[in-house]
Amino acid sequence: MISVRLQLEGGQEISLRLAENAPELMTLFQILGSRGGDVEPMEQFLQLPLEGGEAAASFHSRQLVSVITEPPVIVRLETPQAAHPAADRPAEAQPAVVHTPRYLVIEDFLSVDEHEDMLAYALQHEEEFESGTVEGKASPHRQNQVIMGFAETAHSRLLQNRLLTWLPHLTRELDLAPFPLRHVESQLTASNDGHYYRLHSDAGGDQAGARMLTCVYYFFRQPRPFSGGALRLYDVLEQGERRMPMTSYRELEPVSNRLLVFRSHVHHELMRIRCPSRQFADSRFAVTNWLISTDQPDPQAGFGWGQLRCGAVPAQFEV
Amino acid sequence: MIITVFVSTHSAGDQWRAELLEQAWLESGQPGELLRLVAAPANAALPMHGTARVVRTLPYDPHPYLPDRFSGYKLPAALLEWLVRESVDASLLLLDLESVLLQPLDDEAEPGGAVGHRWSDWPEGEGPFGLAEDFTGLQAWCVNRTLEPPRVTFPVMIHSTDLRKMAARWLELTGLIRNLISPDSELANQAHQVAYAVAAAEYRIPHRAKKLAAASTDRRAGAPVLDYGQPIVSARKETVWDAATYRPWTRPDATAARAGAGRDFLSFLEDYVTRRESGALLATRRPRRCHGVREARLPDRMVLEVPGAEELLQLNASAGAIWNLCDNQRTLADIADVLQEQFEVPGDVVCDDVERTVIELHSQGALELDKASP
Repeated sequence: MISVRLQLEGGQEISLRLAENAPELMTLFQILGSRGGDVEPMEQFLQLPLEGGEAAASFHSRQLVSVITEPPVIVRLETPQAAHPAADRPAEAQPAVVHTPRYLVIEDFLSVDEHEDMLAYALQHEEEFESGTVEGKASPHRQNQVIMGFAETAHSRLLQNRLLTWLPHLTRELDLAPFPLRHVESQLTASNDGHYYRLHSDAGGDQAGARMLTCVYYFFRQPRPFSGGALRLYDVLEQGERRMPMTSYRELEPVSNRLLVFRSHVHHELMRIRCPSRQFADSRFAVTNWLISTDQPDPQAGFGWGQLRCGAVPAQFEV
Repeated sequence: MIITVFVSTHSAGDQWRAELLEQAWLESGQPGELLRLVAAPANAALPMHGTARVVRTLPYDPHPYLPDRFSGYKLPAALLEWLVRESVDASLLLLDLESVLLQPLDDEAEPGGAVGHRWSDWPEGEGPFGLAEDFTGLQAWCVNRTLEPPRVTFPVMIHSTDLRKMAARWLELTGLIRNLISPDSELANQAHQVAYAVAAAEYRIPHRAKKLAAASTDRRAGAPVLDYGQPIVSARKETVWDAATYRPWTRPDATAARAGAGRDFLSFLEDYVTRRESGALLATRRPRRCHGVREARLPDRMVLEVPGAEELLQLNASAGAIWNLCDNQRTLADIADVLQEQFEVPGDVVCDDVERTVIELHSQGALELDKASP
């Protein structure tokens, strides 16, 4: 463990203990290291654990004056472009690099009628939505409502067919090599007052059989009958094989008829929704499609309406 | 701002068409930028142009996910890819590769206000969207079958925000229609045109129908764009010229064609070939060195450093001699004259060298080229 003393503007001091590889420690050094260079200084709100997590110190990065550690900690701050950790070195010996996740936003994803039809479908099937709570250690990890068997519907296929039309562009824009598709997992959720989904990622890695892309299609009534419900995509600290979410993030508001796509290993969080009416019809609806890869390509496998053969990487896209 | 866009492959057959389109675009006085999207594999060399900006897009023939070869896929696919990669906010004039612009089309399109060429041969019938019954299967994949698509085809002037909305659906519908229609049917070759109209209707992008193009079979041109995809015939209806079999740059005989749009096109082509052969075109282009390009002279070659480029440009002795003569004053013809005298080589060889080198330096960002005057 490292003893850390933080000096803040105005003379205030905070003392805490952090593990040698704690992402918070790296964040503190990166904030200091980002000042005085050619790049924009990192600015963010920080919350650090005190007294074994019983309390927290909160301050803005601008207030941070210096970091004193005991024993001394030598860090090597690198830009993301410089990061190519050697696989044969232990993670601790490799430089830590902060990655900001890429994402793609597609507005007007469906046509006007298709969008309205999707909303009508959700409202007509209110009775079929079930609680989607996922229990965590202390409190539920997720609260929303999901509809089972949505993947088999014509509405799911319509969405999937359009999504796969975009596939070559999604992989290219998100820096992902084209991959053979095994399956498209699809889920329709309704999120209402108080619903949320805590910080998590959808995949364990890029290996075959994993979820590769997470594609969230939003639709809801206008004017927007709820507040909150933004999706936060967290920066990640990469050190060797380790990927740890940081406290910095990009926040993306839900917009009706918008598709948001990001790589499934990105840590993300659905912020709590406030829906004063608590009416089901005023929910924030979303269809999430996960594109799952395979290591056993099947050039004949059909997706979407059945004609799209995405089970193998097309010859012209092979890297 | 208007961007004139056309889509092609990197094949030799597409290259002469692209060169002709570029020259016509220059001579028409069309404002804005000319953009050529080239659907080509990553390892294929991109063609070069003196004026048009060239952007590589993914190859779509065959369709990557459908067992289908159809040249019509590359149009929506390339436009979709380009609009994802570049944040464009402009009017887009979409031209068919087998067309030339004879007069400027300078009325910009506002978002929600596109203009398309009136499609007089719209495949009308009792099917969905007022289409022929061959299209009945479309009903399974379209939520609203009562929409009335605009009966327009290319050329089209549309705002980039509108095209960005509908491009994926246009590509998707092209595939769905191709799956419906027998490949032997003439309708199968129109799949991308029908898909464009249906996608425009679904995304509520109204189009005004107007005569923007004349076909090479028309008795009278009378339109800013001339489409030469159809064979050109004589007064006795014998084919006198056909783009499918044309060998570039042989000189056509325009007088053999029946009076009308076909003869107008052949006159344009004949004139272009003549000027191309004589080197007259070179006289209208004046290369200018781009700002910030630095040069270094080595014993056996010259090296250029272009701002923003990852690598240095290496010029051999003859390319270096051409670069040295690019003094913002001389035209390409002037440069060719100097070199011909200096090295005592045939004129046509020098002209080819000068043109090729200057276009390459232009495409690498080292030179700018003045617009040719008619």
